[in-house]
Amino acid sequence: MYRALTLPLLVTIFFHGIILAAILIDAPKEEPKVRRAATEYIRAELVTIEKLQPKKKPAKPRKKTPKKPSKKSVDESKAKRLAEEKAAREKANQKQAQETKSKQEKERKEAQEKKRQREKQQRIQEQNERELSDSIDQESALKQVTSAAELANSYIALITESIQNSWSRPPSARNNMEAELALQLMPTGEVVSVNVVKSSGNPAFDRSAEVAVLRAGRFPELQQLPIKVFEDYFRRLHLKFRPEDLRQ
Amino acid sequence: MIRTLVALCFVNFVNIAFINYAQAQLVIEITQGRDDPTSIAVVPFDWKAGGGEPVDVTAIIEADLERTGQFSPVSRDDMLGSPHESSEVFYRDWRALKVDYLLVGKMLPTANGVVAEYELFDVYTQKMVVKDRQVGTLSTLRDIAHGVSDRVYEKLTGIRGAFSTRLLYVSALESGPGQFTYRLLISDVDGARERVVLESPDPILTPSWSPDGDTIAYVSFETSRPAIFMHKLSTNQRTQLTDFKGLNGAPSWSPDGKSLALVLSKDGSPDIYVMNIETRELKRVTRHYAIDTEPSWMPDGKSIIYTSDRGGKPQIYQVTLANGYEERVTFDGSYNARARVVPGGRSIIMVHRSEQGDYQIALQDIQRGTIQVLTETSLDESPSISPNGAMLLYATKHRGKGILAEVSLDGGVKNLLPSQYGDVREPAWSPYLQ
Repeated sequence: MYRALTLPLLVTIFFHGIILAAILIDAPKEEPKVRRAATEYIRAELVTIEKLQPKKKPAKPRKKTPKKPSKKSVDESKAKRLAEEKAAREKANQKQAQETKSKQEKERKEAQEKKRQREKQQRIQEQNERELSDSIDQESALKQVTSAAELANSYIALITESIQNSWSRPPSARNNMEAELALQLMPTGEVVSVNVVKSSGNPAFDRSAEVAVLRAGRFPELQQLPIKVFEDYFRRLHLKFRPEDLRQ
Repeated sequence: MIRTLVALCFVNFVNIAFINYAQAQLVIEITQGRDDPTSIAVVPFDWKAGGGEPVDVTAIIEADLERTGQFSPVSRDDMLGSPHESSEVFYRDWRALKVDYLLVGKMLPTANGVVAEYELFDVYTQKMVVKDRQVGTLSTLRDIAHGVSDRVYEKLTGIRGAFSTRLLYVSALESGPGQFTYRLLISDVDGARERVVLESPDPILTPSWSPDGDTIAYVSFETSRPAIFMHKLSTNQRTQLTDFKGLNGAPSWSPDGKSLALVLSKDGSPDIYVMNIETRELKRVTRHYAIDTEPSWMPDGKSIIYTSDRGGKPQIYQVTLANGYEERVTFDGSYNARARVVPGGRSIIMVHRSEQGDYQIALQDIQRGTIQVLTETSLDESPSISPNGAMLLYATKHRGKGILAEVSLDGGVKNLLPSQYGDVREPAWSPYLQ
């Protein structure tokens, strides 16, 4: 008897697993679009910094390489065995010469380093400036995206105000009663349909919410919205009527 | 078997995906409202009951709705048509007038009277809200009108209408130098059809309704000292209930109608007692050397609120009848008295002295203790509340004369009720009447 049930059970568990996975995968997708847009732009910022750095690094090794061959030519002079003393003297001379050379080189190096540092500083400054201007550019780009949300928000505020102004609660209304209405809007701001999707349990309250929307009637301001913003936020929207300012 | 399971799971999956999709929609929260009065057009009912219309039924309905402060009737001059039934209604016309609701109807003759057939429409959703009829006779046209008002009000507000209830109050009219005629009067809630229940050269005080609305109790001085009387309205039969030494006052009916709370000073200072009406048996409820007076029952009948100055100043207290446990209710202000419980029992109304020294009617939430002053005049007294808890009736002074005034419990609207008999005071709003 139980054996007969194992297969269906396994199947249901498997499918529920799929459903769970689907919910879990689906869930982050439902996060506000605004946030996603913002993270993408932060990534873009990192890329631009990487582009700038490689330009600096190859510039340094190019200046260091020409110094090494001069040391190798000094080693070759050791091969002559005919005059060891001379060679020793020469060596001493060479040492002296080397020392002076190395001193000069050191000085040169120091000067170069100073130069390099100065250049570095200049470059860092330039880079900073560039980064600053870049970030300003990025900010404005970010603004364009967030402004869609902000834009939507300001229109949400408009709609809220308009409906609140036309909402006349019945005296039987109580704080924290809740009715949810589904609205369909046209890009012209006209209300296509209003439906109570979740009743408060008080028909007079539900009707007052419905009438408030219909009394507000049109939201002509929505015409000014970019069509994308309208489609994303306002084509279909839900209104939750839940009074908080009543005395009872 | 497996197939059906798979199918079920798939349905499940689709459902969940759909729910997810639905959740993605923008949800706007509306948490405030302006609560402007609802606009309603009451089109004059078509009179088809023969002869001239003795009473303007439509005007009574309009006035009923307007007095609540929750409705603003449209002027008849602005109406674009006069429909009397659904086939004659053009929503567009009414929408242009920004009318929320439309009430139409006609008065038709019946075998032994008249009937009002009426329909109420929601102009915005273009739906009929209610269609009903109210029967009566030519002499009860006012009752028909109030009946229609009750139905319309309940449908639109979610609260039972109280337009068919009555008001009880006392008037004093100077009949000669230093002489007064006292009258106990009953009227409709709009002040119409005022009639005399009792006329006396001696003062009449604190009238109170029994829960069935057929019997009243009051204090009369006709026996040279205050005594409590019971008066059956339908038979006009009077019964004297008390004749104790000292004070006999402030009768208040229990919610079950079987007992009367009252104030007696037979044992010293005034205290609260409860009398079983059938057996006349008395039970002492409070026992304090200070003055305890003005009892009023909580809706469950298990406790009584009353005024006491045991703390030095008059304040409202509550006593539980089963164990005599007493508890102070009001703490705000130096004077709170004459409390009445709002139907539902969540708050009380009372006379409250403001910081400016004015006596005003205030509403106090019992649980939270918050006080809200409802009236703006300075000598307000004897608050009484409508059975649906929406309106408050009280006595005040207007141009030196005692009158009755009405205020909605949300503090929005105030009306003065005229009486033809001099100074009016001590109003009591009746319960719902059968």
